[in-house]
Amino acid sequence: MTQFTSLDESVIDTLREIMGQEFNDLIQAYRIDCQTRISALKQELSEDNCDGVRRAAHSLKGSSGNVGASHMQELCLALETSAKNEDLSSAPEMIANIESEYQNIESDLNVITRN
Amino acid sequence: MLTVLVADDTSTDRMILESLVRQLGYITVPASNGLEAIAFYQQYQPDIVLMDVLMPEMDGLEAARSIKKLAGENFVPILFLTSLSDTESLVACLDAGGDDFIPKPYNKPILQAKINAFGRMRELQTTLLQQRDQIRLNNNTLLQEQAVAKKVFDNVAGKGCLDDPNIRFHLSSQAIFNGDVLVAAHRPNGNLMLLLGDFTGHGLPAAIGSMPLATAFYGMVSKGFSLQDILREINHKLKTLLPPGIFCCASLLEVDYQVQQVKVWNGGLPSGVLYRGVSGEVELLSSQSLPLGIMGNDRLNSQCRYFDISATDRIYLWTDGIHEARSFDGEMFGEARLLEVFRHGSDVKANQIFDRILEAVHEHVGSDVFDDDLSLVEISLASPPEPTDDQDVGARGDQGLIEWSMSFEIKPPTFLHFDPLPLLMTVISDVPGLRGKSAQVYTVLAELYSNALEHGLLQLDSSLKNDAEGFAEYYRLRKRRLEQLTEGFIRFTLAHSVNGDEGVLRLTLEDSGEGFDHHNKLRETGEKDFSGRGIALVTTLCASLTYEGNGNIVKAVFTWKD
Repeated sequence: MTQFTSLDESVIDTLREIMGQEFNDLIQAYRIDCQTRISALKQELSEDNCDGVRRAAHSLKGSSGNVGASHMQELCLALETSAKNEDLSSAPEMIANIESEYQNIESDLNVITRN
Repeated sequence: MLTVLVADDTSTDRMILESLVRQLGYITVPASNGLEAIAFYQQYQPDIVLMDVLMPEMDGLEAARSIKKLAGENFVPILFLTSLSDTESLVACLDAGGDDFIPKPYNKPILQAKINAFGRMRELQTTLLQQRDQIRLNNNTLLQEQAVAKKVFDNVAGKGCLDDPNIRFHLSSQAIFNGDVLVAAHRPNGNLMLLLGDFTGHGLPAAIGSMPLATAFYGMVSKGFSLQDILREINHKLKTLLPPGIFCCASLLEVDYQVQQVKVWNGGLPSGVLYRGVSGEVELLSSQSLPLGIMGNDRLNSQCRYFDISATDRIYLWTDGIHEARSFDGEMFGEARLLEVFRHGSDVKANQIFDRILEAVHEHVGSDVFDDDLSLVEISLASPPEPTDDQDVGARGDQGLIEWSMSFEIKPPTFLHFDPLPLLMTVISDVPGLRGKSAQVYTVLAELYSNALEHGLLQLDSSLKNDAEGFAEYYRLRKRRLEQLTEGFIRFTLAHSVNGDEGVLRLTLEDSGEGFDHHNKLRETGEKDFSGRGIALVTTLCASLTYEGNGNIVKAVFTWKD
C-alpha cells in the first residue's frame, strides 16, 4: 500500500474508476495544469494583477480538488481570498508554498503513474 | 442519443466531467471558455450544456445568456458547474438562464442523476414542441379545408333567392360550422319556400348535413315538389346519412302570395314569430314535430300549420343561438326578452324589428368582441318582386333537349300519393328554351292536371268552391273519391320542337272521365272565383288552349322565343 504525502488515496481510486483508460491522461493534464497555473500566478503577481492572481488560484484550487490534493486547495483558497481582498502583500510567500507543495504532489503523481 | 456540451477552462474538471457523461451513453463536446461554448453550441446543437462560471475570454454567465437567446423556444438546459455557494453568485447564474447547479467537486451519482433528469425534460419538451407544431399544422389544414367546404356549400346554397328584397337574414360567417343553415328558393308557381335549420353539434359533423339538405331543397323546390315531399326527402336523407345523435332542428315554410297564406312546419326550432303588421300582434310558430333526421319517414309528423297573411305581416325565425346568447354574468338572452322586442308596438316600426332584435342581443351580451353564433331571418310578406326569368339558366345554349316528345300515363292508385308534376318539370328544365319559363309551364301543367283529376276523373263540381263551407266539402270529397278510385287514367303527351330562336311546347292531357260540354262551359268561368282563375290564367299564358273529344282532352300550345 502506497502512502501519499499530498494526495487523498481514496479520491485517486475513485478517479481511476471514473476515468478508466484515460486516467493517466488526466494525471498528465493535472500536471500541466499545475505548471501552467503556477507560472500564471508568478506572471500575474509580477504585474500586480489581483484579479489575474485570483483566477489562477481559483482554477488551481478546483483542479487540485479533483485529485484530493487538499493541502494545495487550502493554500490556493488562502491566496484566492487575499487576491479577492486586493491584498497581495503575502502573495510571494504563498506562491512559494504552492510551488513547494506542487513538488510533493509531483512525487505522489510519479508513484501513481508508475503503477 | 443526447449530446452534452462541457464548458470548463480547467482541463481536469472537463476531462472528469466528460468521462462521467460518456458513461451515461451521451456524446460530449468539450469547450474551454465561453466563446468556444457559444461557437460549439451553434456547430453541434447540443441537448444539454454544462457550464463553468469562471472562465477566461468569456465567462459562463454571458455565454449562458447567448446560448439561451440562440436556442429561442427550444429548451436547452444549462447546468452551472460551480464551487461557489453564496446566494448572490447562485442567483446570478439563475438570472443568466441557468436551470440548475452541479457542485464541485463532482459527486458521480448526483451528477449523473441531474444530467439524466434534464435529458428527459429536454426530450419531453422537444416532443411537446413537435406536437405543438403538428397541431398548428393540423389546425391550418383544418381551416383550409373548412374554407373549401364553405366554398362548396356557398356554391350549392348560392343558387337560392336569399337576396330577395323580402328576405333579411343574419348568419355568422362561420354559420355552417355552427351547424346553422338557411336556404330559400321559389317554386315554379312563384311561392317562396324557406328553410332555417340548426344541426346538433359544431364543426364538420354539424356542417356535413347541410350539403344533402341544401341540394335536396334546391333540387326539389325548383321542380315544384310540395313542402311535405321536401320535408320527407330531407328527413330521409339525414336519417340515412347522419350518424345517430346528429340531427337537424328546422323550420320550413312556404309563402303563397296569390292565396295570401303561409304554411309552416317546425321541428325542434325555437318558436318563430308571425308579426301582424296592422295590429302589432304576435303569433308563435311553435315546434310541433321532432327534428329532421331522427325518425324514419313513416313516423315523421309532417303536419303543417296554415296562416292567412296580409302584405304588412312579417315572419321571424331564429335558432337557439339568440336564446342562448349569454351576458357577462352568464345569463341567457331567452325568449322573454326576444318577444319583448315585438311588444314595443308603436315604439318600434315593423321595418326596425330585425335590427332591434340584433341590438337587444348585443346589449345583453355587452361585449365588443361579440362571439357571433346568431341566426335570424325575417320574411316580409309583401308581394314578391316580379319573378325574373332565367333564375338558374345553365349555359348550355341549344345543346339540351330540343326536338322530343313523350307520353306519360298514370293510373290508380298512383294519384293518391304521387304528384307527376315534379317529374315532368325535371324534363322541362332540361329544355334550354323553356328553362326560364318553367314557372309558366308549371302553372299550365298544374292547372290542367288538377282539372283532369278533379273534374275529369273525380267528377267534382267546382261550383262547390264558391264559399268557404263548400271549399271544405270539396276537399273532403276529393280525398274520399281519390281513395275509392280504382280505374281510369290521365295521359300527358308533351311534344317540343324548335325553329330557329323560337320553340313550341304542345301539351295534351287526356283523362278517362266523361268530359264536359266544353263548347258552352269554357266561357262561363267567373273572373274572380277560385275555380275559374286557373283556366283564365292558363289561357293568357298559352298561345292556344282547346278542348277536344267530350271535353276530356285538352290541348295547350306554349310558345317561346329567345
